Amino acid sequence: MPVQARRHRRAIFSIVTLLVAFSACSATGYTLWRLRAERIQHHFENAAMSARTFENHLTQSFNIIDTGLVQAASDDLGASGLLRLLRHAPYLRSISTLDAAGQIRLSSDPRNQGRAPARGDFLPPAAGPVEVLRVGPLLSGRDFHEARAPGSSAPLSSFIPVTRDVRLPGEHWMTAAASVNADYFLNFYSAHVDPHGGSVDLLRYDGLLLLSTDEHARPGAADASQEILARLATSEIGSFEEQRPGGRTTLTAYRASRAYPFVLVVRLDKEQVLEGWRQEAGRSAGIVGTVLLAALASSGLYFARFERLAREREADQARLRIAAIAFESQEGMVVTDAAYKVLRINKAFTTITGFTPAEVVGGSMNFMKSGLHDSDFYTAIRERLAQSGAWAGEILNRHKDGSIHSHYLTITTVRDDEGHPTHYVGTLTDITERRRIEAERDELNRDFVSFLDNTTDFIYFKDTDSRFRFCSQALAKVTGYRSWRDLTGKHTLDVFPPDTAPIYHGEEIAIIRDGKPLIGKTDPYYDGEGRRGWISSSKWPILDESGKVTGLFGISRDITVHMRSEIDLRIAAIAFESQEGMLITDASNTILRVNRAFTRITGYSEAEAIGQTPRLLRSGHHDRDFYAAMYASLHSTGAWQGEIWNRRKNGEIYPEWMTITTVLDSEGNPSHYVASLTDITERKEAECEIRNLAFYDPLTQLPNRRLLLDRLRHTLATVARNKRHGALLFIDLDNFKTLNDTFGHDMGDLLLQKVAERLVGCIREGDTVARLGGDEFVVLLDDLHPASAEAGTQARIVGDKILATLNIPYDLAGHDYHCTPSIGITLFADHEGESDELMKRADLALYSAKAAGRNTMRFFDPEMQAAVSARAALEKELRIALQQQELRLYYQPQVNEHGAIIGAEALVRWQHPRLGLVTPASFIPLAEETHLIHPLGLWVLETACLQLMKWSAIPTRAHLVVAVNVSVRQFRQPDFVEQVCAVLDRSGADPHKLKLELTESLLLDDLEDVIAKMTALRARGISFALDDFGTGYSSLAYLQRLPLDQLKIDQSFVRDLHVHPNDAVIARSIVALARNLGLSVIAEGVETTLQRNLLAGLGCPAYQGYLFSPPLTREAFEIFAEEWEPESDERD
Amino acid sequence: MKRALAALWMIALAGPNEAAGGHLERVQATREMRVCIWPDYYGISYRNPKTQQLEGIDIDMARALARDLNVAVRFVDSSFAQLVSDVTQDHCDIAMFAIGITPQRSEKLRFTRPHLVSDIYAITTKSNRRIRTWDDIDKPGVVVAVAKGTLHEPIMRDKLRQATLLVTDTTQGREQEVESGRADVFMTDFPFSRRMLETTDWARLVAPASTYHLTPYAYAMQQGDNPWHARVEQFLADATRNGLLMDAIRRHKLDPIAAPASASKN
Repeated sequence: MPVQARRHRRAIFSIVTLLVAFSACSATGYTLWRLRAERIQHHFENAAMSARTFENHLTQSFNIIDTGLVQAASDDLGASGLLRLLRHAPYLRSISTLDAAGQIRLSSDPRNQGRAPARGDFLPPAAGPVEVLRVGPLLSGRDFHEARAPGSSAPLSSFIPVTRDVRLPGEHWMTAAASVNADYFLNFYSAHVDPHGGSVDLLRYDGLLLLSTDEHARPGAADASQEILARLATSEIGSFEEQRPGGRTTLTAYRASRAYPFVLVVRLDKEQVLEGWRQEAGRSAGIVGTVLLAALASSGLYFARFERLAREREADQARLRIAAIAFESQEGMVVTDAAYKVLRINKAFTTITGFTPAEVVGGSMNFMKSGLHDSDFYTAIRERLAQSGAWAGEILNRHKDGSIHSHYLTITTVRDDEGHPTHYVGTLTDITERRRIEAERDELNRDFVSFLDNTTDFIYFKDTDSRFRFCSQALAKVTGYRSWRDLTGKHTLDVFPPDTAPIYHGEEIAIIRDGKPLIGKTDPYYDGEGRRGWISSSKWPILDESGKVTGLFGISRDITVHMRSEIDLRIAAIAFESQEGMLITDASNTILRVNRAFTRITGYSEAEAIGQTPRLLRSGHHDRDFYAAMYASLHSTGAWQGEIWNRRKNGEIYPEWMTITTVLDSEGNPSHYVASLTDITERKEAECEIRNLAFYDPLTQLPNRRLLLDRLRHTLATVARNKRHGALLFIDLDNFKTLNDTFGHDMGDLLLQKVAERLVGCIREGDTVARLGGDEFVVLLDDLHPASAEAGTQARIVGDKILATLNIPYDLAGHDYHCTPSIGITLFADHEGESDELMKRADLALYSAKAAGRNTMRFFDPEMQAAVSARAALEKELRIALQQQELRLYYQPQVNEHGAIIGAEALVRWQHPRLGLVTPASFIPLAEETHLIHPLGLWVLETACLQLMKWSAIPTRAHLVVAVNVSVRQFRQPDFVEQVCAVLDRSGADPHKLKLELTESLLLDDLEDVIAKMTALRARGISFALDDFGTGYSSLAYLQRLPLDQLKIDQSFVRDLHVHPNDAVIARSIVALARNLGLSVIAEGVETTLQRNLLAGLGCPAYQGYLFSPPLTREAFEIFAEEWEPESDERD
Repeated sequence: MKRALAALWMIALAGPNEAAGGHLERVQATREMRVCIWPDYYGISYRNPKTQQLEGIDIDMARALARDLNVAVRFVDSSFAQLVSDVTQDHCDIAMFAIGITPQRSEKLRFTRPHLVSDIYAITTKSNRRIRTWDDIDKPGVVVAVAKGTLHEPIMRDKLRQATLLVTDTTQGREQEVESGRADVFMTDFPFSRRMLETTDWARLVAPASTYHLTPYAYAMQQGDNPWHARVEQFLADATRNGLLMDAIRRHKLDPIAAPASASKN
């Protein structure tokens, strides 16, 4: 009900508020709308007034001009007279008189003479002379002598030509002309109308714009405002709201001149006009809004206060209801008047005392008196009530059934306004049961205290903060307290010694936190004399009814004696299981016991070792004398120690430090031997490591000069042995000293470390980067190509990489630093000079690199420098060749035993612009080295596939299979399979007509990878031939596993087939091998009919070679295929 | 060098004029000092057409000089065109109307220390489309007006390369030429340009972007009369020291063109 009433109140309040706000807004809106209309009206009047003023000024000015012209025409003034007329007429540039032909005869500006004003389009129009001022269109130029029709933009200067015919005596006519200074009027208008707020236009009566204060207007053009012309037809004066180009609205007033053919138009920008109104409107709305908000806020506050009062009233009513319910509570209640006469009791009172209202109401309060209290007791209660208005305490009362009950009674005095008691209210609780329980608890406490005093265990109860509530006397004794009661309130951390207290405290924290007991934990402790011992403790949480932990109790018992013996045993066991290997034998050298370290070191398990003799470990590195000396020492001194080489179970020989001690029995005879052994392999290695430190540069961790020279000597030997090349690269940072001087040595060191890191990233594994000191680095390359030109290129490629890598800017502690290197290179092979000599050469090469302008590299050997440069040039050209399509694909026919063309091998040629046709032998190795083989191979594959596609459409060529050579490097690319498939997809060639030729060297690679790639491509239908078969290292086992289709007999066997019987044997074997593996076979390099026939005799069914055709261009191949007659060769 | 030549020139002329009797003696004898002014020089020596009263810094200075000499002052109307003849033919004892020190005038007249320094300014009409900035002035097709006899005439004749120079007989003439559009700008100095801006609503000031041609302004008298010159210099030195000169400059709002030496050192 109150909720509903509240909602109702709020709804009414909201509606009233909204109404007030709406009214205020409406009134404000109406006022502002009125103000706006008035402002527009006011500015219309302003515009009209301005138009009138300007018209007045204009008409008067032209009156004077008219008068001046009449005077000029009537009186023969001469040039000086004309000039005089101009003196006070700033609106005129010149005055002239015309001759009969209409040409200027005399002018204040002599330059005008001879000019003829074109009077055809003057206003008002006239066929003959008339006595009025006539106005021409605006002309560009300063005066008649430079008059032009105005162009598309506003002219720099302009004037309005006017003429006046004057009738002279004797029907004689004279004409005067003037050029009117348009700027004069413009200045006048500009000074009176703010260009931002509006504009003034002067029109000729026919609408031609003569001038405008608007910068964008085009004087001289017909005015766009047709509306003004239309309105002019009805009224010469007017004002209206006008829509201007560009979306502007203006308040426009116009006025035609009283006497001359002019119209003045004044436009005021409506937006500008309303700007002030807008600001005012904003301010008004702001003020009204603020006032309205303030009014709403205060009425809201008032409403809130009203609501609070209503709520308080409801709360009072609720309190009264609660009081009524309280009276019917579980406590007995009795209300008496001031004379202790019972007025009212509740149900609980009847339950507690047995008396019903009917029995006691109206009577005195003494019906419950037990007679056990004397009269002083009751007098004291009365006095207390009189003094403080309340009394509370225990009282013995008599139940209706006669039994005595202990009650807890509270009496409160109710007073009237004068402070006189009017009523007493008594509250009664029966505490008889409570008293009984208390008695029982007292008994329990007595027994428990006795227990605590006498037990020998440590018993304790603590609160959640680990403070003692009570404990056994035994505990007080060990902690140095006289009585256990002294411990109450003490904290665990304060009671126990600092090294044990945290352990106990930690346990108790866990129990309090987790509510879980701790059972049988062994902890250290100190007894009353401060001796360290052990206790076994069990502790439990104490929970209240809700399961909350309110404390804990525990029992701990001294177990020191028990622990001592256990610990001794454990120490012995641990000592034996130390990090050293331990071995115990009896006097006869039989192994009795070994430890785990022994097993770890030797590899022999306990079971394997026990029962054996230490001979088990012998490495065979020591002779008989060594062991004899050992036993001699054992016998004489009872001990031996020394380094010994032993053998592990896995056969590994390792160094060991061994100590053997003899254990003597009671008679002094050896009963046991105890040996301890330590594996000193790591120590030996560490010694080695220390020695190595002498070989490394501590700043960069690179090899130092010593190690470099060592490696160089080693490399010199290897290179000579393997008939390969090595290279020494000296690298020096340009301007390193400047960095050190500028940024300090710390920054220099940082750069050297970064350079070292980058250098290491530039070389292959096995090559060496060393730092000689300062900013000098050396790279040692070995295992370079046997041919010096190739080796030179390899060294150059590394050099290029180093140049590029070291050129990348360095981040030196936030500074961006750019640094360039110079590199000197020398190649070596086969004991070419000693290492010192080589170092000198590389250093010299470095100097020539510095001399060549730094950030470059130079070879020591000028010929090598030339060769490397030439190859670098060739590489560059090859790159260009690839881009510019200088490569050609040639096709060499492949023929079967019947002489029919079955396919062709695609061979790449380079149509070099300078060198002519270049064979693959000249550039394929270079392409391999420089990775150009990837784009080159791809180009060959793409070209061959496109050719296949074209041939597939021609029936006589559709069967041709094209073999394409794939280089090892190309095949190794991880995405080789995807590349080939993509080419096939792009070209649309039939994969079954594509054969890839691989070389045997491929088989030296990861064979599984090779097989996987071949299998994947074969699944597409591509077939594989093994090229140059017989020259390589093919294992037959490998051959079997490869998904091959064809073997190609190398031309070296074919060439001497008829000369060397061995070659014939090899060829025959290859054919047989192919047949057995289910592969086809083809011979290449077939040059004579004899070779062909021999091969046919060996069972080889397919051939390729000059006997049939050299490699041909596509066009030549197609002609060759057309003209080829299969059996022609057989007729030779 | 130049100064040495001028000194020689002065010594050469000194003899005869001094013999004819100095102006100082004459002024003290007649108890009247005749001062040439140009009554159209706004802020300098301007005769207000409404009151016919003279006003301007040099009117104030002339009266102060007369007070200093304890004589009456009589103003004689002159102009820049008549200046040299009025002074040399002894129509006045001194010309006090901010006379620009030019080489041509220095040949004929003796100047006191300059009290004002003005650059050249151009006045055009608000609606003129040719002239937006100073750089637009010396362009083909532009007509530049100067008044005959003013210091601007020789300077502009010397400086203009492409524009046409129009020399008017009177100072009003150059204003009329510009207002009527027959000329685009006329050249004047700071005080006159200020008058144009304050009294017309069509004039627009075009100031040089940087210093164009500074001319020091001073008072002129006959050459060779050393006592008179020394007396006037003495007066000017006193007026500078006691702030009288600077007060006059400020009173007529000419502080932007006060010569550096016009301000008192203390």
